[in-house]
Order: sequence, then structure tokens, then C-alpha cells
Amino acid sequence: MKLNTRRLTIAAGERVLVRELDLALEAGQRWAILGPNGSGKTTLLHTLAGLRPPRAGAVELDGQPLDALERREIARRLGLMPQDTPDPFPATVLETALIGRHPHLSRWQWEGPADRQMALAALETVGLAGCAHRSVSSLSGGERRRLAFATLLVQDPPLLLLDEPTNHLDFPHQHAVLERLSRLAADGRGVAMSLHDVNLARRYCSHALLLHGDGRCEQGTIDAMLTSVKLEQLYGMPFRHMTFEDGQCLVPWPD
Amino acid sequence: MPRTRDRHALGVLLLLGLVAIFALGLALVLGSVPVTAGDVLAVFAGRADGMAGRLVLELRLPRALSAFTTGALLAVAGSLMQVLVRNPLADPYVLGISGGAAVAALLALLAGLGGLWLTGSAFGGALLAMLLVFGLAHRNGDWSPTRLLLTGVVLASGWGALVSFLLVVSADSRLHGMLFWLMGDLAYAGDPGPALAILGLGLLACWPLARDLNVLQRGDLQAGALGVDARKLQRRLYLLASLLTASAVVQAGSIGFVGLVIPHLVRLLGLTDHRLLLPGAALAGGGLLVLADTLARTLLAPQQLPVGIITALIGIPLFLHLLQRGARTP
Repeated sequence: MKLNTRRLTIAAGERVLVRELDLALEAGQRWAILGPNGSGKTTLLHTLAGLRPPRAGAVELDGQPLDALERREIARRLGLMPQDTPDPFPATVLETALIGRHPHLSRWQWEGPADRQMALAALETVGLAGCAHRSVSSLSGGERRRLAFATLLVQDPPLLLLDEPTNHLDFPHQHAVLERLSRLAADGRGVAMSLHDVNLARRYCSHALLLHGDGRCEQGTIDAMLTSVKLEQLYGMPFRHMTFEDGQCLVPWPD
Repeated sequence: MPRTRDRHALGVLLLLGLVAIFALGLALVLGSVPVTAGDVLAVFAGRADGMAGRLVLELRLPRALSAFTTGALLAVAGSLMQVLVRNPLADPYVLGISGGAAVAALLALLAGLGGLWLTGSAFGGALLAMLLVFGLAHRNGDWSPTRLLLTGVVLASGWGALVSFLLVVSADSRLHGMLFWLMGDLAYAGDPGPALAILGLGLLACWPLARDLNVLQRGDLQAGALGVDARKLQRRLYLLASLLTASAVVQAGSIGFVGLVIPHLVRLLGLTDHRLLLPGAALAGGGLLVLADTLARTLLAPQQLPVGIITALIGIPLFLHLLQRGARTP
């Protein structure tokens, strides 16, 4: 399972955000997409998921162009956790997680015991098992994010795209979500996510894509990309490298 | 596996079905000429004789079926529009679809047209109103639910002003027939057959899309990510909702409230899955309108009230009660 782009150019209005990107997301890899606000992280993820046409170039899933594939077929192989998931109508937590099965069920099929089991297991994973029959509207912001993650787990695609999965989460849950993604990658899935925390990216990702927001992109292994020099160029702000006995971290350090 | 919720949902559906049957029965029995339940049963057993039989078969049954169909059409159309606009405030009346149909019908009446011409122009008016709402809101290639709703609300008040204008400038002798389009009335509903057929076909057409609706109500992005072609589905919903609304308006003028309240009521009763919500809304909408029409016929008999007044009088307290109750239980 592989997702790759060929000379992909994406733009918002007149502004080119990414120019001629050649990216290959493969099984086992964990990509962090980093960049300042408005640099095109979300737009890129939507384009990679086939939900937004690129300005130029193409996205390919296992060598086939995305626009030649049916949406349902894409959804069985590629999942996206959006930055926010509106819930204007009442629904329970379990019902919301269960919609992840949608692409796997045929038109007349109803969710069966196995689907339900899967949804309950995903809720267990994100620590919402006790809320299965509560209304979504009673959840906090962080709990809603975890529910969106559970929905993606229920969709169970080989390739996972996530738009700021750690948003609104407390520290233990941030690590739990990224830990889970690392394990999924170890099992042979491909993961790409936009992040704002360079230390989380460093700890849990294997590769990084830096978006400068003016069309320039840089990509490489996480250690090659997350240096204080590159991060200063990316965010326009100095970073300090701190080393401890059992690790190191990068901290934004304004002059 | 927690089957209790499924059983609950089926129970609610069954209950709504019983309410609808009870309402239909009541509509056959009640009226200026007393008919007993025994008479009604005799009619259906094929032993229709005399006055009671003719009254039930030729007057009360068609009218009750017209009321049921109209209510069901409006409720299903409302459910579809709410997903389309992704807002529980949408319904054919709020979006001005009924208003457009009413203006077209009034213009036809002013031109001295009647019969099929009147029906046809109401139908055209509903489609035109729907096209206007979606055309205006859709212009920049971006289909924003909030802009759709706002456009609809503004156009609805425009249609309302046009209706008032037409009423003011028309002759007194025509006024009574015209008021019908303003308030909704089943007194002029003809053969319920065609509308019943459209209701059946409409439900058959949207039921296979019901699981897609469950996904679409969580946004275009989530729908797309889960394999639903949102644009294609929205176009279908738009056509279906227009057709259902137009058939309802042609039947009974512009009845407010049913399309807005019934989907909400059905969701509050626990039917949140559209595979159950759509049939549930049809039963509840139909049942409510049959009850409302029966009240409209009998409350101030021999004077008949426009049914729109009754739907508002029943619907508003019912809705507020459910909303209060729903807010308390998490």
C-alpha cells in the first residue's frame, strides 16, 4: 500500500502553497507535516485524500491516479481524520464511531455484531468505552477529538491521514494517540499527520515534510529535518536544542 | 451486543405506526354526521351500505389519506433538507419552497386558471423557488450550508410579501380561495392517489441513500473521507426534496411546521439513524396532519379551519415540551 504524489502543486486562490511535490508515503512510515499557520498542511492532506483537486500534478494510490478510483474504493484504503467534525444532529458516541464502517458495508447491509465489536474496541482504545451510549453533544472538545480518532480506527484503512490529531488533547492522550499510530505503522500501515509540536513529531515520526507556505517544501528523515536551523527557517523564530542525560528536545526560544 | 437500543428504535417505529392508524380511524369516525367504528369496519369488510358507507368512502377516507400523504411528504422533505443544509432549522416552509409554490398558484388564480393548470403552476413555483435558493447560495462553487439557510429564509420572506401583495390587489370574491394557499387547507385536496404514489416512490428512492445521509450530516469532508460522493448525493437530495415538497403544496397549500418539527421530534424519540428516521418521519408527519385536519374539521363545525392553524397550535407546545425533555436527559 503506497500513496505518492507526482509534481503536485496546490494553491489557495492565487497563492501557491506547495509547488511540484514528489512525495511517497509507504507502509511502515510515519510522516509529520509541519509548517506555520496557513502554510497548506490541511489543504495538502485534503488533496492527498482526493477531496480537493490539485492545481497541477497528481496523487496516486498504489500507482493508480486518485481521480480514476471510486470514492468508496478510496475510503477502504485511505482514511482522513479531519480537523473538526461537526455534529449538528443528535447521535450517540457509539453511532458516531460506527459510521467508520460505512465504506466497508454494501448498500443494503446493516452494521453487524462484528462492526459493533470493532467500534466498542476503538472506543476502549481512546478511553471512551464508558461513554458509548452518551450523546456526542455532551462530550468535551478533547473527547470529541478522541471520538474522531476512534472513527478512523473503525474505518481501519491501510493508510491514515490525520489533521492535527493531538489538538485539544491533554498530554497523556496526545501520547496515547501517537503511540497507537506508531503501533499501526509497525503493523504495516502508512501514517501522515499535521502537527504543531516538534518534539512529538521527533518522538513518534520517522519522516517529516516541512511546508514553508510559499511553494517550497523540504522532506527527509525526521533527524535530518528537525534541526534548530531548519526549524528557525520554517517558523521564522529561533529554536534551542536541549540535551538531557536520557534525551533531547527542541524548544522555541524567542530572542 | 446492546440490542436494547435497536429494540427501542423498532418499538418507536411501531408506536408511530399505531398512532398513524389511530389517527386515520379517528378521521373516519369524527365529523358532522356521526359514524360508528362498527360502520367503518363494515365499510372495509365490503358491506358498505347507505349514507355512512358513502360518506366514509367518498368523503372522509380520501380526505384523511390526503392529509396523511401531505404530512408524510412534508416530514420526509424536511428530513432531507435538514441534512442538505446541515441544520435542524431547515424545512420546505422556512426555505421558501412552499412560498414560491403559493405565489405561482395565486398568479394562476388571478389569471383565471384552474384545475390542472393551477396544480402545474404550483409545482413549477416550488421547483423555481428551490432552484433560486440553491442557485443563489451556490454561485461561487462553494455550497455553504449557512448561506443556503440564510438565502432560503430571506427568499421565504420575499415570497411572503408577494403573497400579501397579491391578496391585497385581488378582488374580494376571490380572496377566500386564495387564503387557502397562504394558510394550508385540505378542503380542496382531490384524489390522494397521485400524491400517495409520489410519497411511495420518494421513500423508495431515498431509503437506499439513508446510510449515506448518516455520514453526510457530519459534513462534506467526513462524508468524502468515508466514501460518499457528497456533491452527487446533494444533487439527488435536492431533486427529491423539491419533488416531495411540490407534491405536498399542490395537495394542501403551504402548511408550515410539519417539515420542521417532525424530523426533530422523531430524532428526540431516538430514531437518529436515517434508515429508521425517514419511515418514522413519514408516519409521524402523516399521523400529525390527519389529527390536525380532523380537529380543523370538527373543532368549530360547521365552520372549517385551515389545517395550518391547527398544526401550529398542536406542534408548538409538543415541540417545546420535547425540546425541554431532551435537554434534561443527556
